[in-house]
Amino acid sequence: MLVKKMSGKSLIWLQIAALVLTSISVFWASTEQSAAGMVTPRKMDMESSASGATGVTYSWTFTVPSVPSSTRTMEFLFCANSPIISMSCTATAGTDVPDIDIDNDNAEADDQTLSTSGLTGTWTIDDTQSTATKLAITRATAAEDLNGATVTVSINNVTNQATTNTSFYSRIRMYSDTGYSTEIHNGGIAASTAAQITLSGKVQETLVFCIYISGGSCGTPGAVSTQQIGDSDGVLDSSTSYVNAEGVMSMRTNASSGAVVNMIGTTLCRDSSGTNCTNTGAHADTITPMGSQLAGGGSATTSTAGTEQFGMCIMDNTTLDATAPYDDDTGCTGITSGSYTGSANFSFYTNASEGTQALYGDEIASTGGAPMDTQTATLVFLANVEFTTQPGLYDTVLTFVGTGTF
Amino acid sequence: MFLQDGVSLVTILSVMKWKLIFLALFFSASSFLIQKISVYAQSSSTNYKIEESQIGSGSGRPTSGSYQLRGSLGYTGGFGESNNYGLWAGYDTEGTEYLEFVVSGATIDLGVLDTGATAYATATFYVRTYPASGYVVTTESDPLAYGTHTFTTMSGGAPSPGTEQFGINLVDNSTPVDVGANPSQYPDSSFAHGIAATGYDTANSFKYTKGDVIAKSDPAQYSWGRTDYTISYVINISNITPAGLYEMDHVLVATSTF
Repeated sequence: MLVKKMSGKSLIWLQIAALVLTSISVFWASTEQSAAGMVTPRKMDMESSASGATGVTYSWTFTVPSVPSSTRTMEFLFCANSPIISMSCTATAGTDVPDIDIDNDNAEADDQTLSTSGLTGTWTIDDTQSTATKLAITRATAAEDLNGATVTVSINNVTNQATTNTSFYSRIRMYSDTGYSTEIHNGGIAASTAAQITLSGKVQETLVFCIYISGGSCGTPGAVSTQQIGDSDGVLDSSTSYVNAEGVMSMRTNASSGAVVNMIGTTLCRDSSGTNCTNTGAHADTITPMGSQLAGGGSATTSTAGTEQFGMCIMDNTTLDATAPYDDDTGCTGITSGSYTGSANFSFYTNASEGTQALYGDEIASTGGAPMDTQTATLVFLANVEFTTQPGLYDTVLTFVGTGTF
Repeated sequence: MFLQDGVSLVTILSVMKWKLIFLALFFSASSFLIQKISVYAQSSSTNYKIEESQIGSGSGRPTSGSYQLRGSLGYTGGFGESNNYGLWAGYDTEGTEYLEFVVSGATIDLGVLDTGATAYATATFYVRTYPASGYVVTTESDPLAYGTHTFTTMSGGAPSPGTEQFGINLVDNSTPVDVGANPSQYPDSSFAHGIAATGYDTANSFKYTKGDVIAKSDPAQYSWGRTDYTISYVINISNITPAGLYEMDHVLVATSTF
């Protein structure tokens, strides 16, 4: 046998070549190559991360590789241990991964509504392949129509697992067959539940209500208790009508259903004992209150000099609004204290069951059923006397009460 | 047949065979050892930087359009150096899809709210994710509410006592009080790059819109690593904020894209 002579140099180069080839083979053996099978980018949106949350929408959005591949079925699998497709998947629905079979009847299609975008064809939930931890969807025929597409698959009635601040995983798998065995693309996703941050704070019920004299304030009410009606000396005259427009009420409240103002008291009366201050008519100790006094609510009338009358109207605003029969928005405006010749309507409803002489008085204003920041309204009182009105000092003490409904 | 030097080709081939076997065994063992002794550091030079690199043939999975390599590193901890190079090692980098999202789960009682003063509170969470191309954290709750009344939310700007407001941000604030903190990178800014999202990243300015992204990975940087965030809450009431016990279960959702 003829054996070719090899020089020492050739031998060295042969050894070097062997060395390089060995290292390359080791290098390639230690790496993993999966170019066409990964759906990238991919993510899974959750409507809520709260552990145990129900009715949660989950959406998988991913881009299919741009390689020719025929897709027929897909799986979206939850795993507690790993996103790696080749690894076994451990999962307990509702405990360490989400649960998509809400009623535990092994029929996920009746628990979930499937929504998709970017997919062609009609996709439906495959109940035979789906489980409580795996959504499987399918369409009637396979097609190479998703290459390079970005698709979204959503379901809307998932129950999050019970563990909080805990990572879990989802695996996306695409197949070309109905048996979910010929996999063409896949990808893993990591997600996590999270604890909630609970905040609380108290807003106290507030009602600020005060009466003061025009020019004053809640803190400086002025001479509220010594108001007079009449001429400069407080004398009434049958030939002239007089008004007092000095009283101002102010209110603010955060009552969610608003607040009302009630007025309690009698008409002008000259009986200092108060015993006869509810009597009206000829020779009574009172000035006749204006408007009907019958049950069912009062009424308002205009001023007539020389006719016994005592009444009130309110110069209000749309927020702190006068209540009938004190709510003449047309006439009861711009009135100042002194003699009066206007046409505003005044009233003083003294009915013992519903009016100012009832237990809680008569409602004269309200905030319209809503909270109200500081608003004011002016109380305008009118008095007329007859020539035959009995002489004396007529007065009344009127009490105003603000009541909030929280 | 003998060659020059008295060594036959058969002998040479026999020797080479054992050398080849030895070399194959040697490099196989080397690659195995190198995988096990991977160290971790932010390696860089003037023209090159390796982010969270692995030293070794490694079981890595970096990806390109047509190639994928999956990596997994362990840390040895501490500092290693040679004459010309030093490595800080000591942080786990996951090689598979990974998201760690931990919210402090705080229960915050703001007490009795006052029209004359702003109420403040803070809470924390962190995000650690690998090997994502980006992540976002969204807020998924309605603000403080009682019955049918939900607090008016802010759209930026400073808090104003006496005006009903609810807002948050994720940065350090200085006025009118020192509250909150900027996103903190763990263990330092070479390992992670989470940031407060637009609208929630301005000191002393607060905002709240349900569904907004409030924190995210910096799109100009890689999105791996851990970032710690602090949420600052501001609450004001007005004279007409309806009375009641207001509550909010603040749900945050972290979503990584891989």
